[in-house]
Amino acid sequence: MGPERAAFLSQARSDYQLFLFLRVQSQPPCHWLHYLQMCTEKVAKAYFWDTSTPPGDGGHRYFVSFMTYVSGITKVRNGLGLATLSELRNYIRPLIPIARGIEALSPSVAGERENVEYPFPRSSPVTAPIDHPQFAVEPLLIGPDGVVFLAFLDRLFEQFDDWF
Amino acid sequence: MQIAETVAPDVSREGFAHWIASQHLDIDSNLVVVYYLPTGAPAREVRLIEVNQSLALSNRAGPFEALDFSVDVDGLERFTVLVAEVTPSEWEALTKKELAPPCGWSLESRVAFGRPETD
Repeated sequence: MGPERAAFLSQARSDYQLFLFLRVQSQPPCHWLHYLQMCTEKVAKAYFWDTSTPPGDGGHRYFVSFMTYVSGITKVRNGLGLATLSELRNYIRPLIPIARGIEALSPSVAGERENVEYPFPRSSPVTAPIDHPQFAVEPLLIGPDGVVFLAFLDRLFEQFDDWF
Repeated sequence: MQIAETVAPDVSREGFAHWIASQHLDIDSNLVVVYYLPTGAPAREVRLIEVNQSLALSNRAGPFEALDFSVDVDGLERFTVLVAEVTPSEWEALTKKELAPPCGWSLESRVAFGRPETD
């Protein structure tokens, strides 16, 4: 593992622990969603650091690409106890909308829409994330696919070194 | 969508590109079409542009960033796979040369891989 991947993975794991802590403490969703967005972005960037296309400066759209990539990886399939890549795709497919919802929480990806860091919409920033009643991804996270998604994240952070 | 679990050792570059594109189309219902761009690519490199209607429209000026999606198949990395994601409007701008593709990429001789019903 290269030093950049190791550093990004280390920070992602720490962000993930903060996400879990804030969520279990019932802190406002904007805060734990912020850490969820950051840890998923960083773990994806960690992966791409050791490829021919290390992440550029300032980009935030890596996690969905990473999840798509993961759906074709034999070691991930084996690690999840699945028999075929088709089964792995069936496992990952419902998680893609959740991944997109999390990726879209970054202000630069959100554009005019809701984000977890700054008042929005960008052109008339009158709603603070802390006062936003519900983010679009929240119902997805508490549904059955959300349970699978969070279980997958657990496995991802545990198994990253073996899978990649 | 029925997709082969693996590919033959002597699979062509276009055949490999189609296999990867089929997997991506299968997993993401918002993926509209995948374009395979062979012109100017090194012999062992697969270049794909994926047009996805769920991407946030972020007014990117390009050139677009490609990401390395290379996978081991039966223990071998057959081809380097590079993927750039764009929105439908960005794709339209690319075809009109209002936006630039990833550096060194060409849209000439592109091959479209769609869903079975849209092939």
